[in-house]
Amino acid sequence: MTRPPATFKIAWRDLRSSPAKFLFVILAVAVGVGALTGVRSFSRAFHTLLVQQARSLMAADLSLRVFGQSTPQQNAAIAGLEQHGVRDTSVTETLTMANTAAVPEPMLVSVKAIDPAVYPFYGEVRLDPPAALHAVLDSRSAAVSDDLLFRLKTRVGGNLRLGGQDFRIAALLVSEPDRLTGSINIGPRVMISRQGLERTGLISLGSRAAERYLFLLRPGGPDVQQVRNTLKRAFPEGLIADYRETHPIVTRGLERSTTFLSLISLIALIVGALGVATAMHAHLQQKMDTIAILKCLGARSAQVLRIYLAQTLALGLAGGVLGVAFGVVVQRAFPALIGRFFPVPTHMGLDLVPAAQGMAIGVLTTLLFTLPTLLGIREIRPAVIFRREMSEARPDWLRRWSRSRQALGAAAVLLFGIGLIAAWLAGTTLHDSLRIGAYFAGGLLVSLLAIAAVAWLLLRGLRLLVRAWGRALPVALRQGVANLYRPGNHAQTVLVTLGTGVMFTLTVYLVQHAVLADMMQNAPPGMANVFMLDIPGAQRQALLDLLKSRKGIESAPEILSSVAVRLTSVNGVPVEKMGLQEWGRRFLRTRSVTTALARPRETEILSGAWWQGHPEMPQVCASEEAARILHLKAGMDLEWTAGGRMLHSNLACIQRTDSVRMTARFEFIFSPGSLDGFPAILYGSVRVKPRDVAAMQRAIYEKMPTITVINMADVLEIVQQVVDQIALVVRFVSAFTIVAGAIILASSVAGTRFGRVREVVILKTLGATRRRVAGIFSMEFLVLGGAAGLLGSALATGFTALVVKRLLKADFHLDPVADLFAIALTALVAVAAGWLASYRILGQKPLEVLRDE
Amino acid sequence: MIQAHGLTKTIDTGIHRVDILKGVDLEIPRGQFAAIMGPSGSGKSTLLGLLAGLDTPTAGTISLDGQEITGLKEDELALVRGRKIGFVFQSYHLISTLTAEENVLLPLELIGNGGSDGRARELLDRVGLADRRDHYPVQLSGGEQQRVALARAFMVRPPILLADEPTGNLDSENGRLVLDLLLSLNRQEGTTLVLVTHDQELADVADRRILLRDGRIV
Repeated sequence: MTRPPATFKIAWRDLRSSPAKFLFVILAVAVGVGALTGVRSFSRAFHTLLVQQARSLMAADLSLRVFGQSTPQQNAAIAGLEQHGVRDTSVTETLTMANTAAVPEPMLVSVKAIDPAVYPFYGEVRLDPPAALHAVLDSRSAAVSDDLLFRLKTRVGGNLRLGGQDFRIAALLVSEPDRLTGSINIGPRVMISRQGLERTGLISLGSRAAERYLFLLRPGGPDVQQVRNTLKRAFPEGLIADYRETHPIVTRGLERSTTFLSLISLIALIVGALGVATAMHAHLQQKMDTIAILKCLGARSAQVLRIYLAQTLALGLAGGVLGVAFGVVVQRAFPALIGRFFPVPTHMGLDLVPAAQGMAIGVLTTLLFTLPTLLGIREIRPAVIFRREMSEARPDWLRRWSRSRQALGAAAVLLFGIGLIAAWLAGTTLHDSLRIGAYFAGGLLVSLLAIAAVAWLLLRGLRLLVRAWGRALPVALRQGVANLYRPGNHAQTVLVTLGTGVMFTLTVYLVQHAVLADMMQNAPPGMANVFMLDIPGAQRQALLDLLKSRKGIESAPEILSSVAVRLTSVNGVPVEKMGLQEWGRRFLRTRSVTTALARPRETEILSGAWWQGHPEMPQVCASEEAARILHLKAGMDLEWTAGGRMLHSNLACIQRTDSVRMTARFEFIFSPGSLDGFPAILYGSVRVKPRDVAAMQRAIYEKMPTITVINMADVLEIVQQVVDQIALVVRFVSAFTIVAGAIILASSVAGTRFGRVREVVILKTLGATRRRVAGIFSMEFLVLGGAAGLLGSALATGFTALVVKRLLKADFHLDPVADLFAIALTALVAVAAGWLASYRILGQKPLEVLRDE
Repeated sequence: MIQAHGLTKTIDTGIHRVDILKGVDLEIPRGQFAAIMGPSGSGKSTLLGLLAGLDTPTAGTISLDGQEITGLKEDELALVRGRKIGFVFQSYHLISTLTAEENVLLPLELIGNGGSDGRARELLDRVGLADRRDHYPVQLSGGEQQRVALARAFMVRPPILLADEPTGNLDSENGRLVLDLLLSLNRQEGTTLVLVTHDQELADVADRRILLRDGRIV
């Protein structure tokens, strides 16, 4: 029988001999792998759900979203499909106002108009009381979601006023199959029939309602690809999805969130890996003699390295396996976090692909972070056995340079490796993945250096403080702080890792609150807080008159006309061939544009010149951002299309508009008369004292019920709900970094167990009670946790200030309550983790230990 | 044959410079038993360490069996040690996580030959520990641990055996036993033996005594 090599026996028995120490190391890896596997398993399960239930989630075999009024040719194409047995129905979704007798102040609702005789082709609309949709919906009835009943104080059987018309609430709308792939998910849902929609007059030419066509294929008729091809030809701009794929918008959203959450999980894993590296470093310090003996016996560095490499791999692998199990639990937590907005997969369990990926990344990250420590094995001289001073001798400059070069090399490999892992997790195009990987690695380097520097300063400051105050401090505090500097205690690593966790989680919270607070309380002066959509041209003057007669109006109302047009070419170059990326791709679709006679006061011309009067050739002024993305320069020819008509124009100027102005919403402003004959809609905005908004909404609604009046405060409430939900998910994942940090603290405490036992024994021999000893250790953990909390919250505050002021251009205010809470919570977590790793040492009998020495 | 010329060793701790060896010339022919003696701090262990290639001299050259080892790299030195040198330390230095037999086998495994259980058992038998081969170091007494270390030192049949106060941590009875074993194994295997000791009686048995004082041979 072949024996396993002694090196592997050494590796294995070493691991077995200190189970507690290595258990924490395994846990530290498991936390990160668990978060990563959980996120990615859930994402895969969700993706599977999207694929498996693609038909139900679309309520059709194919869906076509259109962005403008259909042309006769397009209608003919659909009619042609119908002749070949393809069935279709259209779904209209729009925002509008609704009220009831009990609550006359109108509220924003999202209306969905369908044909109850055929909708949905797949899936089920669930009503309460249970009934078939066609049995309850007619031109005078509606099915509504429960939040509408609550907010408009009505009930099933009651009445609802929509677009100036009364609707009987026939049933409670429990669920609809295509809510996820629909267009508007703001405000309570009101489902009505198409006849009902016509009765309201909400839809007029050029209206911004979202239109979708749903198609049902029949055996013997054209297949899905043929239908798709026909639709693509007829609706080149349309967004087509079929059951063979997941919905492109949902998929993109899912991919982006998965990447984002995976990268946060990777940070938790990196925090864990830092802990493994620290533990391995401490372990190697203890194993110095063994290594030296092996070298004396003729072992080459590579052979010794193999022992500890095997150990690292085993630890990474064990952490990976445990992490995968943990990931199953994490995955199951997601439905509770997002169930309110999304359908959740019913079947979730161990998914081998993310499990294997999680384990591989766990092992790789562990290995990368232990690399510098492992390479240090080469520096251990066998002569250590004879005289330790030799190894402590100051190396000459050549060796020092060579060592620092090696360390830099190892750090470069580490960063490169982490960048590649991040790129792998990003999983988009090669170019984007590499870019994300590079940003991640760069960001990590800068953050870790900054955190390590602050941690060093903090520890140094604490030491100086204790030295300066000396005997004035209580003994437990003095001893506790002194313990932070015990050999092998790794206080700085604990500070860095735990502080990183706190920083991350708290930053998410602080940014979320700073942004929401800014949006809620500090609308910039002059910015409108009430918006009016879908204003019929005939009511323009009446609306202006009505607004002027109301009290509480703080700014002159603005009403702008908007036309949906699509840019087709710039100087003869088709827009599709301009290689637009990401957000720039919006120019491939229909954009809302407006006209203006004179340059608006708040608009600044950057190049070119504004037109005079009514130029014959249509003139356009483009926004600074549009010009940048499309490489526009004054004088260029721009071609447009809208409703099947072409429009040639000349780019007269490039402008910049203060973002609080309504005109800033338009990327292109045309010269007057350019858009005559195109279907236009009117928007309005006005700034009203908050307490007068409801009365004004009601007054407009009573006289002009088809105009949608949006109070920004209501929208912000909805935004807040969504932001809160997203932030909850992000905080949930980022909290794993705190857990990893706490485990590293426990690991560090477990690693110094021998020294602590000795200390307990000496203290007890000198007459200290268990209570006194417990006080000293508690103080050590409390100070360490408090310092990590302080470090994390200070950096989180700085980081938030940077994000809020620089990126979001909003006001930043300190949040001392959140900071203090974070510090206190971290201190408590540290005390709990510290005692978890050392509670047994309190019971140590002095004689047992002293006899052993 | 061990040859050393002009060996010096200086350590710089950053604050102090300590000259441990100050130009040592030495030649020990094949098969000779040489005892190195001297007071504490005279450089005995350092000299032994340098002869074994465990550390590099500040100046001077060393050759073992005609092979110059002074300029060799760390891993090349390890190979030389693995094949040519057996070591016995004062503090035994067994690997605590390996059994007695595994400790004895280790040097052979390190040079890539793992299949000689027979030789390991024979050596353990010769040092009187045949029935303790599955015991871990912690389960053995000091004398027994040193006997395992002896067996380990002879495992690869090294031409040179270096011993650093091998009986220093043992009581006289166990010390005697270990020494007898060391000398008998040395005779049987025909090794060159260099032994650092404070024990005059032991030095008297040696073919040659080398006295070190203040970093020099006197």
